[in-house]
Amino acid sequence: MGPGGEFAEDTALGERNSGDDPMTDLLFVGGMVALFIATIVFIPLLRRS
Amino acid sequence: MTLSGWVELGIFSLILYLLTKPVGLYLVQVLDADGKPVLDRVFGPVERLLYRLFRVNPKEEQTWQGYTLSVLAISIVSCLFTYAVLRLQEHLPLNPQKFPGVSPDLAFNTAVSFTTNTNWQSYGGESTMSYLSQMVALALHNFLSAAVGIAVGAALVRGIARHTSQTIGNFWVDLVRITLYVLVPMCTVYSLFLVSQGMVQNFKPYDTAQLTEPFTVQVPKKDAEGNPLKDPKGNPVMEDQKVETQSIAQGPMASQVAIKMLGTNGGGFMNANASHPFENPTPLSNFVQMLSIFCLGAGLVYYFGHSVRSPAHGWAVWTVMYLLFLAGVLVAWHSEASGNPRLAALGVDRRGGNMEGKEVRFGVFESALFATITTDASCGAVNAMHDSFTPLGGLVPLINLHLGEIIYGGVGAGLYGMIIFIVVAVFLFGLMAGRTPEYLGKKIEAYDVKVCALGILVVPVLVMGFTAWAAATGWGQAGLNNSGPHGLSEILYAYSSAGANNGSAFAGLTTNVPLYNTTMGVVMWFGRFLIIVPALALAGNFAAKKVAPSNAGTFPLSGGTFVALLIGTILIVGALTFFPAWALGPVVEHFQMTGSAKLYP
Repeated sequence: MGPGGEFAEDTALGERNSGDDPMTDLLFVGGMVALFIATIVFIPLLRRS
Repeated sequence: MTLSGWVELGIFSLILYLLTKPVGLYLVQVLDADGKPVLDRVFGPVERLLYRLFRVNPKEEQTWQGYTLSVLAISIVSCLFTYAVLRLQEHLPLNPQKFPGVSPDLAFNTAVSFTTNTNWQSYGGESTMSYLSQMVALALHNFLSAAVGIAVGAALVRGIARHTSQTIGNFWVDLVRITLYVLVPMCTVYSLFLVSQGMVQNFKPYDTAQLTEPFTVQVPKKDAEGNPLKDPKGNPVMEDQKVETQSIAQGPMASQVAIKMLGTNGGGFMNANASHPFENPTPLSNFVQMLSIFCLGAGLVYYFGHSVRSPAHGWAVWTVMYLLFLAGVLVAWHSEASGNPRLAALGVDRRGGNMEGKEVRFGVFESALFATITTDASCGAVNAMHDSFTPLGGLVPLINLHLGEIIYGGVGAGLYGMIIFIVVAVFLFGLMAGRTPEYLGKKIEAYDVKVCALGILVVPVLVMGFTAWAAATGWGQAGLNNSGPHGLSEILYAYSSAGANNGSAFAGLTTNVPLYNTTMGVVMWFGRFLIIVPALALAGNFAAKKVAPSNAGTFPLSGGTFVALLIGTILIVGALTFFPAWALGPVVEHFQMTGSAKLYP
């Protein structure tokens, strides 16, 4: 459950959206892939020597 | 604390106990490599077809590294898929309300949130998501993330149960069998039950109702291009707007709610989640929803005991979980039933307890019970607003999050989280007693303790680090609706909910801004997978060990001593890490509320 999405729509916090251009999408998609890679790194790190 | 509450608590506990063994035995059939579930005649052909389609050899098992890679691969692919659907929903079908695409940061947050079984929602479902997004992008993860959790739990159990083995099962086989034999059939029956209770299940556009009592609100005045107007001082210009109609949301709710509860996902179709009458229509639906959160988690504990050939150990773990659950319920219930003494000082009748933020259909007990259950497990669905609980009532869900949601827990996640604590507890006992630590006939070595330590430390580091950052900076404070200790609790709860993959919210913090959406996405990802990776590494290491016969020095894994030692380890190692944060948030707030004016005016 979230903290009140409808309130979030009306809030005066300034920019709600992080932008709608392809570069922003590229940033977030790249971010997800980076999270994946950062996790995979732990597999060899945790391999028993 | 009412008699009806005690009776309901007793019935709930009894049914949970009675469900544990049959559900556990069914899970044995599904998760055992040679098991043949009773539904094999129905789903067996589908299972074999899926293996052929995806070229999976069900007899071929994986090492822990291969298993982990499979878990991560399906998670990232499905995460990217969800991101794409949310961004493109305005161009996709089943969008009768013509909702626009979700903003990039919110799509990122939501995709990671549902991939990790968190289901944190920085949006209102009925005002943001199309039916396609709800059913395909989000419900997909409700099934997938639940199946992944159960699969990882099963892999760890296999690792403990086996000896001198290099493999811990086949992830793809586990995923298919859990989905086909457990989640799909159970959710189908469950959805029909929810529909029988009056829950909505349709594809209609939203209804519009004429209000019998229209009212007027003030809204920002906009120019012809839709930009808000401001006066010479820079303040927004407001105008009256008469409200004469109300939108009544529709949609495929029952099917989503069934897996939301059973899979301990928690993401609501509606913004108000299980407090909305469409999403929780009757007292019976409320009771069954609570029970279904614990159902598979409790069954998995029985499956664990059965698989390691020590049912008594399984029941001892079950008892630890039950005692921690009971303690949480009683504290939350008592705090909410006592209400707020400051209101009493103003002449408000407090006999009904603290009813702020609670659905009157459920009242104090049902709200306290639901809040405890949903945070014991990693569900996150709510039928009351945790932000409005008394400080100690709100502290209970917070503590549950900080314990790692190991009390029956998220499906699978609760079990592997608890096993990590058991290994640490046995290791600590070995140190105290001067014995070689040994668990179910296997020696615990430095490597095991290191991976367990990683699994335990990940969440505190993420939660405390990001909470400190948000609390100390403008962007973090900008979303607060409360100042003082309660404001800190709101930020702490948000990151705790994200790190523990719970998804419930304190409801007082606006997080639909780029920095909250992004940082919480990062916390959710690592809070999930940096525990799964060590858990599977532990599984691989345990599977490779030889079994040593038990002797007089072997620590007993059932009975009162084990239960007490495990509870002590969980509280000291798990919870006390967060004690300073509790002291600055809910504990101070409690003293402020109870009138210790000299100490905390």
